[in-house]
Parts: sequence; structure tokens; C-alpha cells
Amino acid sequence: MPQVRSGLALAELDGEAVLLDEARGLVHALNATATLVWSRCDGSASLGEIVSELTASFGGDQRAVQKDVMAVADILVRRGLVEHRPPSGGG
Amino acid sequence: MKGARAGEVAPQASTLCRALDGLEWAAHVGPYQALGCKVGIRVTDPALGGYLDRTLGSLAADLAESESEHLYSVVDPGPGRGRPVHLYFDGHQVAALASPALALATLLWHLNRSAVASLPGHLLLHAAALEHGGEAILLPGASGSGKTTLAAGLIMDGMGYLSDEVAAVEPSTFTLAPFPKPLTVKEGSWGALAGLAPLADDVPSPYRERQWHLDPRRLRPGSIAGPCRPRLIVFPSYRAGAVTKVNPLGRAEAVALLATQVFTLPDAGQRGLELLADLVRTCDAFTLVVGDLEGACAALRSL
Repeated sequence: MPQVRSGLALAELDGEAVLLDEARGLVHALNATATLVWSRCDGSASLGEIVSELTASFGGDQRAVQKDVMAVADILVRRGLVEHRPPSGGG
Repeated sequence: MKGARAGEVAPQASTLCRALDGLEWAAHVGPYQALGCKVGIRVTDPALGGYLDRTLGSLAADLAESESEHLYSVVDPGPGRGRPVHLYFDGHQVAALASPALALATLLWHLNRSAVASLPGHLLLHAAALEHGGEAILLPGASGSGKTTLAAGLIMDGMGYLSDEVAAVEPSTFTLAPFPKPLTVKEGSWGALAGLAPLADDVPSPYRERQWHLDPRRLRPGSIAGPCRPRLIVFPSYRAGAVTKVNPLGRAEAVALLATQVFTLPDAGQRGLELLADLVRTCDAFTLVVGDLEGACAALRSL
């Protein structure tokens, strides 16, 4: 499950996020699409579920949405803004 | 003197202060107000004193000499008398410099540093700042981005001068405090500002270096502006031979770029980022590719 890394400072301007990663001394500006994906990475939904949610909310072709979400998620992970966490055991 | 802590550095510094006080000083200049730093300068070389007096006039404060809170001392043994030139700040040695030119450059650099350190509660940005129509234009950028060259062009165009290096923003009102230091024009910009060369001609020969220090009032009398709030944030980048072009910039990206040009942020983390975001929310933001000075000044005037 993708989850936003803790310890980041966030400001949102005109639907776009700025993230300050003080530990690494980096600042990231996300475009509107990346901000949407990033904001849904709360550790409770898989990427597939995020794709379904965004397709339902905004319409469009699911495969195109999936391609965009995967590309954005890959960048977010590489920049250290999102981590993959194993799903919590349901018992 | 400020900065000396009792029982620690103070005894050594005060000994040195007494030794310095015993020297024969050719000139005392100032006091100058560099943001929150009120400072005087004493020199052993009268030529340097005269040059500083002419060059730093835009920072001259309406203060009695006794109101200086800090003191620079520049000790030049003179040619053939075992240079280096020694630079002291409040009795502490800053550096021993191999030449008078290097001593002058280091003194002016340290003065900027002292100005930045003097306002820890302000947001201090690495930016030039101009005034136009009662509002400020911030030009943040790294060294070499063209801040000072643009500032010089815009002053001659009629804009007010706030700084070519440090924009000091009061965090509750976003009002900019002027820091009208001499413009530091590096050799790479001498061609674009060739008409100003005569203004840089009065440097005593041992102090000539690869940068001009220009009193903004000599570019245009009455050019120093008072406190005002920013309306525009424009990120310049000089590219030789490029077509001058201005482009709108999203506010999130503007915050991210601005964050890379911060000297001092009053708060770290979330609060610091929110302060930058709040500042950007009050402004329009642009990037400016600077290929030629005249075109860049015209582009900025049109915003």
C-alpha cells in the first residue's frame, strides 16, 4: 500500500502541493495530477484502488488513468515522498 | 561590544580591542545601517576610507557615531611592510587578506553577512528587490542569474531600489525593509552596463577588483525606495544569446523555487513553508529568461 512519508511539510496552492523534505534538504512542487495521487496515498488503498477511485471521480479511460497513476507513483517513490508499506494484517 | 560572551571570548577580544584602539586610524566612516546592523568602519589607509565613504553612502544612517553597535577595523601595514591586510569585526579577526582588493571584497561580503544575521525574525531571501508604483518586485536567484544587472537597468529605468542581494520580508505584514547596499556588478555584466563604467573609475588602484561597487544614487538620484509590499516575484536566469522571454509560473512551483533562495526562515518545517506559501499567494509569479538587458527591463515593466 502506498503511503505518504511522514515528516514532510505541506503547502497547497491552487490545487498543487509543495512538499518540504527538511531531512534531505529538498523541496518538491507537484502538479495537480501528482497532488491528487499523492493525497490518496494514505496507506489504506492499493494503487489499483486509487486508479479505480480517480476513474470514478473524474471519468476517462481506466487504462489511461492507470498509466498516469503508475508513472506518478513511480516518481513519488523515487523522490522519497511515498513509501510502499505492506498491507496491515486483517487477522 | 555585542557578540562577546562574558568569560569566554570576551577577554581575548577586549585585549585585541585595546590593541586596535591604540593604532593610528586614518579615517572612521559610517555609521551605516545594513538592515538591523548599525556599524562603523575604521581604516588605517586614508585611500580606503575615502573610497568607502563614497561607495557606502546609500547605507549611511542618520545616527551618531556613538550609536554604532558594531565596528569593523581594517589594518593595512602598507606596501613593503609585511602585508597581509587584517580585517576585524568587533575586535575579532575575520581574516588576513593577501591584498587590499581582497580585503575590500571581504569587508563588503562580511557586511552583507552581518546584515543577514541582524534580522533573525525576518524572512530573508537571496533576491534583488525593486519598487514600482509603490509595490515591490522580487527577483530571487542564485549568483550569476542576473539579479544585479537587472536591478541596475531597472533603477535607470525609473524603478526604486531596495537591494540587489537580500530581500528582507517582515513575516506578519510581508513588508520589505530596504537594504540599499552598493550594487555589486561582476565582470561578466560590465559589457551590458558599459555606460556605468565611469562610475566605477574612482577605486584607488590597490583596491581594484573584478567587480564594481556602485552607489545606487549615482545611477539615478533619489532612487532608494522605502518599505513596501511585494506584488511580483520574478525568477531571472541570464542566458547569453537567448531570446528574452517572460512566462507565468504556478504558485506551487514558485514556492519551491523561492525555498531554494532562502537565507533565513523565521520558522522551520510546516510554519516556514506556510510563510513562503502565504507570501507567494499575495503575488503573481513569473520566470524571466534574460537574453538582453533592455528587453528584460521592458518585459518586467509590462507585468
